[in-house]
Amino acid sequence: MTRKEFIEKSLLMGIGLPFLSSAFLQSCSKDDSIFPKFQTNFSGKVIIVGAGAAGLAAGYLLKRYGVDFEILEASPVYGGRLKKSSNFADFPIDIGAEWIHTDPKILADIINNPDSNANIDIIVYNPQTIKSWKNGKLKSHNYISSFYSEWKFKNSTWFDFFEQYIVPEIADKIVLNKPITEINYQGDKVLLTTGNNETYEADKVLITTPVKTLQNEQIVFQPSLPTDKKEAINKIFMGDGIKIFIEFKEKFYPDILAFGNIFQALNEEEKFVYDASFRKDSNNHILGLFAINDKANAYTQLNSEQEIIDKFMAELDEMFDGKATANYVNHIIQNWSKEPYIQGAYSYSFEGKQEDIVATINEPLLNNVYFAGEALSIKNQAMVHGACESAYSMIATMMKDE
Amino acid sequence: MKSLRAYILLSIFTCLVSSSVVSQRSDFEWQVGYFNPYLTNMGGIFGCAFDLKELGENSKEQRKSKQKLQLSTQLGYFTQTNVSQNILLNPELVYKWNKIDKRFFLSSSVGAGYLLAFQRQDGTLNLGTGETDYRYEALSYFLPTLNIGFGVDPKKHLGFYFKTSYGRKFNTQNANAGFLAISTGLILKFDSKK
Repeated sequence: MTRKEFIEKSLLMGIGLPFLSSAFLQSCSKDDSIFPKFQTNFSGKVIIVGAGAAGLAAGYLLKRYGVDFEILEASPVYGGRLKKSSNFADFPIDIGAEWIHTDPKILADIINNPDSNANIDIIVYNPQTIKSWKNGKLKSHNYISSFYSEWKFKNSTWFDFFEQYIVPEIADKIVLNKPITEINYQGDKVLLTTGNNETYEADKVLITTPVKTLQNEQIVFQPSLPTDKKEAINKIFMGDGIKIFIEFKEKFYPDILAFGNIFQALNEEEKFVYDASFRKDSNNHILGLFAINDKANAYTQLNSEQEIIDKFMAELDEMFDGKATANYVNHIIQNWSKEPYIQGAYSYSFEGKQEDIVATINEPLLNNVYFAGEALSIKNQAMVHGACESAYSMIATMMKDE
Repeated sequence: MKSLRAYILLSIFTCLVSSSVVSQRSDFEWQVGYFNPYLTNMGGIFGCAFDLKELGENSKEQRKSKQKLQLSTQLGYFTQTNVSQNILLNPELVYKWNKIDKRFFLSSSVGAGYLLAFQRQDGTLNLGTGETDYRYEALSYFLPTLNIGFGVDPKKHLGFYFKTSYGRKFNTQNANAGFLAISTGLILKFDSKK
């Protein structure tokens, strides 16, 4: 059973995400390895567009198979929606992807290196104090800790995982500050043009940019994308996303706080306040806000970071009787909607049958241009390991197509 | 913590005494069943019970039925996958009602349980093997419960019960939380002289 299937079945039963016990999540990951094994005679060059989780994983796999490749990243840093803050607290904070939504052995599967002796400390993310804020009242729901658990990195981050175990293998193949604006795939070679008119040539191209950038046509395709593929891309909803972290002098908030009806809130996963220091090696009291879609709009559409933090602090003060202002120390904001090459959080929902939409997008263009990313994983959509799974799967398809 | 330790010792003592008493009486029964806290955690429960007192038959209505108080103690185990292993020691005072000459019964009880949870906190993942070595923390809870149930008394040796429990977990180290469980299983009687 996939995570998505289980969510749907849970919803049918009217019980929602909290019942997504790790038992079921683990069963989702037991199927098989996401790291593909294949044979290929491909001897050309692959260009990967985007150095987020999918792009980096794709490069890692190509390196393993000795295929020539290059990763072109639009922004000055690699990682995409994997991002960390090292200096804000006494532990590194994931200001992008944060949770490990399945059994942590997926990390070993991603790097697929049985000879590795490396260890990673993880926490069992099983919040003990759980509250909801509804109709101006805080209400306890601690019993939910008996249904719900996931995992997180303890002394590191998703970004660190990629930086330590994926990037060293492929660092010389990552080229930063190369925003691709045009892809011409009508000839034998695929031609890619950057914003400052540099041209790259490849035999095959894997596009791993966030779906929002495709919807906004930041890359122009020559010839233009087939109508069914364009429509499929536009049937994926990827909303706004923001994360805010605030250091307080003391902890006055629960391990996790949802808004509105607790079951609906936990199912929709659109806005949470949580203890970001939970089970970390930390003496700091760090509160996190995670908001996506409409719940994020309320912050992302404000004009300045000061307005954003003022609004959020006012909400916290209302919920916790002024304790937020009284204990405030410092804050950081990561507004994903303002990142020019990301423009939001992650794929959230599909207007139609997900499998059909993904299959349409996954269909390569003239066997030369392929697509991958978190939005295109059926089993693990909207998750980092889903991005890796999609990239691995698409590279395997690309190599087998030869 | 001292009172908690005293309570644990008292619970164990109660269990041992009741088991010992039970084994010498003809009215004792054993229970073995499936234990399902929160509907998502899974485990098993084993217990024994004996009659404390047959309640009076003063009214006409009461003469049509049999009511008694039982002392029951149970030892349960359940697991929240990937999170905790739990042991429950649960003495209960049971009120049991059934019609004369009928085996079907209704019951209600109050329990004063001790729950010991071995909870995964964090771990170290080996990237070569994918195996995670977890660190556990033992958390103790006082778990008072209210229970209602029904069942069928054994005709000779074998009966059946179903019970729902609602309570609250109290603990000094961690968050208090509601507790909900169902259990169902067999009632076993090895001496059917009665």
